[in-house]
Amino acid sequence: MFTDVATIIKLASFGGAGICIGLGAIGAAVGEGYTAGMANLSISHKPERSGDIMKNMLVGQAVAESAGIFALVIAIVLIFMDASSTNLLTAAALFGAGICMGFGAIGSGIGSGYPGGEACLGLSRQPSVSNRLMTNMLIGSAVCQTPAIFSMVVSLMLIFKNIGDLPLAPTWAALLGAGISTGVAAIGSGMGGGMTAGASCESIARNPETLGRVTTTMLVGQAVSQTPSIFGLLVSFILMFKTFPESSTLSAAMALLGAGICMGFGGIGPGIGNGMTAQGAVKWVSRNIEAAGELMRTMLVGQAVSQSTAIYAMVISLVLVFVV
Amino acid sequence: MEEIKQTQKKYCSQAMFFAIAMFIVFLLLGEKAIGKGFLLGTLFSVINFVVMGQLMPLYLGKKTHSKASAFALVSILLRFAILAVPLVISLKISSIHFIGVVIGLFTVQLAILFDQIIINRLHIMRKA
Repeated sequence: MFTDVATIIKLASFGGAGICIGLGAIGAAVGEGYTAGMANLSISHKPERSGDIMKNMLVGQAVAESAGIFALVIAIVLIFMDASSTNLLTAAALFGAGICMGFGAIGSGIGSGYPGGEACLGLSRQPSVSNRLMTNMLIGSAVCQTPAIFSMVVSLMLIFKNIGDLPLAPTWAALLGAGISTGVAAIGSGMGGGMTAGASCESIARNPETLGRVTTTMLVGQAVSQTPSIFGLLVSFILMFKTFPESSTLSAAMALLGAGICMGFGGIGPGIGNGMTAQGAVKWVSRNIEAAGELMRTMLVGQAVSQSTAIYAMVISLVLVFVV
Repeated sequence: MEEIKQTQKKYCSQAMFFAIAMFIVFLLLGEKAIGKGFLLGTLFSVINFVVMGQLMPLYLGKKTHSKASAFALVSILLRFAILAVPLVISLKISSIHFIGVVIGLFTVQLAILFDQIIINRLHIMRKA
C-alpha cells in the first residue's frame, strides 16, 4: 500500500502539516487563554477599566498569535505544494519541516501570552501607565516570536532544499533530526522569553519610574534566553548542509537522529531556566533600582550556569554528528 | 465594547491604508502579483482581527485560565480557517504571489507595533 514513493511523500507531507498546525494552535491558544484569564481577573478588580483592559487584551492576543500564523503558512505549503519528487528523502524533509514548525510555535505562543496577561493586570493596578505598559508588552511579545521565526526558517529550508543525489541513508535521519533540533529547542526559549517579558510588565505597573532599567534588563534577559534555540538552529544547519557518506547501517542514521533529539530536548530546560532567572532579576529591578547593576550581573551569571546543560546537549550532538 | 471597536477601526484602517500604498508601489515596480497577494493577505488579516474582537466577550465570560484556553483554541482554529483561504487562493492562482499573501497576513500586527513603538515614541518626543 505504501510502497509507492509519491504516496509516501504525500503521507509525510500531510502528516507533517497536521502536526504543524495542531501543535501551533495549542501554543497560541494557551497563550491567548492566559491573557484572557488575566484580563478577567483585572476586570474583576477594576470593572471601570474594562474598556482599556479589553483593548490591551485584543492587541496582546493579536501579536501572540503570530507564531500560530507561521505554523498555518507552513501547513498550507505542505498540503498544497506540488511535490513531484521521486526521492524518498523528500518525505523525510517535509515531515521534518512540519515537526519543526509545530513544536517551534508552542513556546512562542505560550510565551507571548505572559506579557499580555501581566499587562492586563498591570492596567488595573496602574492605569496611568497604560501606554508604556502596552509598548513594553508589544516589544516583549515581538521578541518572544524569535524562536518561532527560527523554526519557520528551518522549515522552509527543509521544504525547498535541493535533495539532489544525496544518499537516502543516513540523510533521512539528518533531515528529521534538523527539524526536531530547532523545533523542540524553541519551546524553552519561547517560554523563557515570555516569562521575562511578563515580569517586566508586572514591574512597570509596580514602579513606572524604573521603566528604562526594567526594559533593558528584560531585553538582555530575553536575548540570553534565546541562546538554546540558537544552539538548536546551529545543529539543524549542520545536519541539513553536511553531506554524509552513504551507510547501510542503522547506527549511522540513529546517530544523526539522536543528535537532533539531543539538542532539541536539551534546549527546553535551559530556555525556561534562563527565563526564570531573568524574570527574577526584572522583578527585583523595579523594587530596588539602585541594585540594578548588581542584579543584571547576577542574572547573567545565573543564566550562564543554567545554560551549561544546553552546551552539554550541543557537545553531545556534535559528537554524534562528527565522531560517531 | 466601544474601546474595542475604536481600536479595531484604528489598526484596520492603518493596515488597509498601508496595503493600498504598498500595492501601488509594487504596481509601479512591475510586481503586480506580489502587490495583489499583499492586498489579499492584509484583507484577511483585517477580517481575522475583527472576528477576534467579536469573539472576545465570549472569552471574558470564562472564569478559569483552562476554560479561557480551551475557548481560545476553538476560536484560533476558526480564525486559522479564515486565514488559510488567501494562502490556498495564492497557491491555486498564479497571478497572486504566495509570499505577498504571507507578508500581508501580518499587516495588522505590523500596524500595531508601528503605531505603539514608533508613532507613540514620536508623540512623546514632541511633547518633551
